[in-house]
Amino acid sequence: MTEINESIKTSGTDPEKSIEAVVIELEFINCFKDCLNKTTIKPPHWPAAIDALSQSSKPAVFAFDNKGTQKAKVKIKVTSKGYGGNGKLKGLVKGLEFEGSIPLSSGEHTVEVTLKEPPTAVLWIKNKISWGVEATDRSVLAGNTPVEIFFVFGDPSKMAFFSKNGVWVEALRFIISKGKLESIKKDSEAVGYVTAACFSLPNHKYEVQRGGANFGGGSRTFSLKKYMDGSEGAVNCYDQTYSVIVFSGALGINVDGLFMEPFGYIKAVNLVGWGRCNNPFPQRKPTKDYLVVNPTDNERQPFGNHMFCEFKVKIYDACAGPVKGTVDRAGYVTNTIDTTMPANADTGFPGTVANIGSIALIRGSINANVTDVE
Amino acid sequence: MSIDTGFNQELREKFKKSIGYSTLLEQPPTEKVVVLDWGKALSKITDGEGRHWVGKLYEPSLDRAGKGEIKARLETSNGVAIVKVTSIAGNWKQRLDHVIWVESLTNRAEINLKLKPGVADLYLIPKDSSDTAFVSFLYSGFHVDVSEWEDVDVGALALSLLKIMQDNSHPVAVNKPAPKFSLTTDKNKIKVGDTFSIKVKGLTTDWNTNWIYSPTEELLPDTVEFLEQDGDVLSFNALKKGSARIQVTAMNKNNLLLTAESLDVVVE
Repeated sequence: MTEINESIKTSGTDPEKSIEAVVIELEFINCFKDCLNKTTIKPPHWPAAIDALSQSSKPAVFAFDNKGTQKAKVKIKVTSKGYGGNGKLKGLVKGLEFEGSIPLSSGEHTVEVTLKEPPTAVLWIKNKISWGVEATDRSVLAGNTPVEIFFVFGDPSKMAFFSKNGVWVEALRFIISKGKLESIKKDSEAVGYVTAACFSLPNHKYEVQRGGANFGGGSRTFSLKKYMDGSEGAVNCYDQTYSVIVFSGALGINVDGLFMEPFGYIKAVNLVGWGRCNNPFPQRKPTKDYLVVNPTDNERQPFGNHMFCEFKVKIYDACAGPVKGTVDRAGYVTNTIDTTMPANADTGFPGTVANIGSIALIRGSINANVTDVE
Repeated sequence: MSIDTGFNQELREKFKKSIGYSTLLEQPPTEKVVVLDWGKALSKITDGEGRHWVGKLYEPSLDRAGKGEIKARLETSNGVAIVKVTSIAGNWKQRLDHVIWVESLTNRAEINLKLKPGVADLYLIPKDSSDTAFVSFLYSGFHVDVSEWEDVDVGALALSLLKIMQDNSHPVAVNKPAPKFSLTTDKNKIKVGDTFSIKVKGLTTDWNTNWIYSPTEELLPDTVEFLEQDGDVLSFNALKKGSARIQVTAMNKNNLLLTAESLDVVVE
């Protein structure tokens, strides 16, 4: 916890009048449900513990834009002489200004402040809000409150997987820093950045032996904590689809998962963690020497099925490509699936657009959508 | 991880047939308990081919289904392998189904595993290559997955791990062991909409240092919902009228053995 600066009385014209103020507590209101270490964050948002990275134990999450919705209740102690009526309470942080009306009489007041001009893009604030009280003839400082605030696209707790405890703050910190998402304004662009970030995480690479999921992909529960822990972990397209859905969801963007079966032989595209590849299951060593083979090589292996994402009719694939919203389903199939195949290829290949469906409804009742994170 | 889904069912059924699932079910292995300090076991291993593996362990964890896991990165001069040990409660069928479910989450056209009979309770190796890039085996209540991270044959490493487990296995105790922890609730009468808590109290001297625990969320009925864990207090929401058996699973961080206790509550 950082100290509150001592109130400073500025020089006034009337020596009989004085005013001092100090912020005691801060509670953001109308913010989205969020959690840390799977525990829902309860107000007040300050006082709170602050770590070495200036991260708070009680962060708040708002939507950017939406002027007038980002508010806070500030508990403040005023000690004054010769003042009545109301003045202004102002809080400044990284160029943003909260403002509200404050009684200037002595006492403990709870003041509602509103963010005057909210950010217009994704923003992550880890700073102190500097508070001040403006009276008619003078201004006094009222202390600093360290805060951590995220401004995202919408309410992440509307996503099934974040509905119970709220959005994981750890996920927001992770994806905003890895995805370099600050200042992104467009949701489709953000999904592209999320896709790129998930595609390029160090220590994650495609599982070229079994094509298996290692982070719960396909199981409906995404192993979010393990995905973010930085250790070596093989992934498959199910894991990567879940990661794009969950991290976009953390930003308040609802991305759909798609499942395609049969899929087929991939054209030479970048495979997560490996680089160029038209043969994701090489079966020969050294692996890296057989990731790209002659398209008609009888040992070339296909994807039997494949999972990827869709947002606003555009495709996002953090496993192969990466594909970042530049094509629709038809364009994706054309760009990714090879029609030149080995002579021993299964008769079902290549798959077509007609073989693509939602992961929420695979062949009738089968639902592989993400419902939980752990 | 739920196995109550038809996702990739076709692949799974084909694989079950290929390993003789029905026969495996009819011939359950002898029950035994492996008591092993996994941290020590995975920190240094010399395999049957004389290669020295040095391990780095990650934090053990418990999932929503009450399964425990520890991951280790093992390095030798030839390359790196990843070992994942999953501790599974339940009978032979449940353990077998767990492995089959996990291995079926693939986007290959077929599950790339074949059965190597007579080794461990279940021993699966690559179907499509002569070298052993990975091994997935069941022994006692543990699913051990050994896979290459860089090109390196992990066959000898997997067999050495199995040998260590065999050397540390014991017959199942006849008497049920004393409970390792107890559960108490803060409310005798719970109404729909109430939040109530369950306090977990360790009954062993090493409880605070060697055990992790969490509610087995996948077994919760729809009458209650788990909210959060604050230290040794678990909070729940009462959603519907009816009874609920709340199970809490605990895992010893050293030997990865699981134990569970339950508490029945009635929502009025």
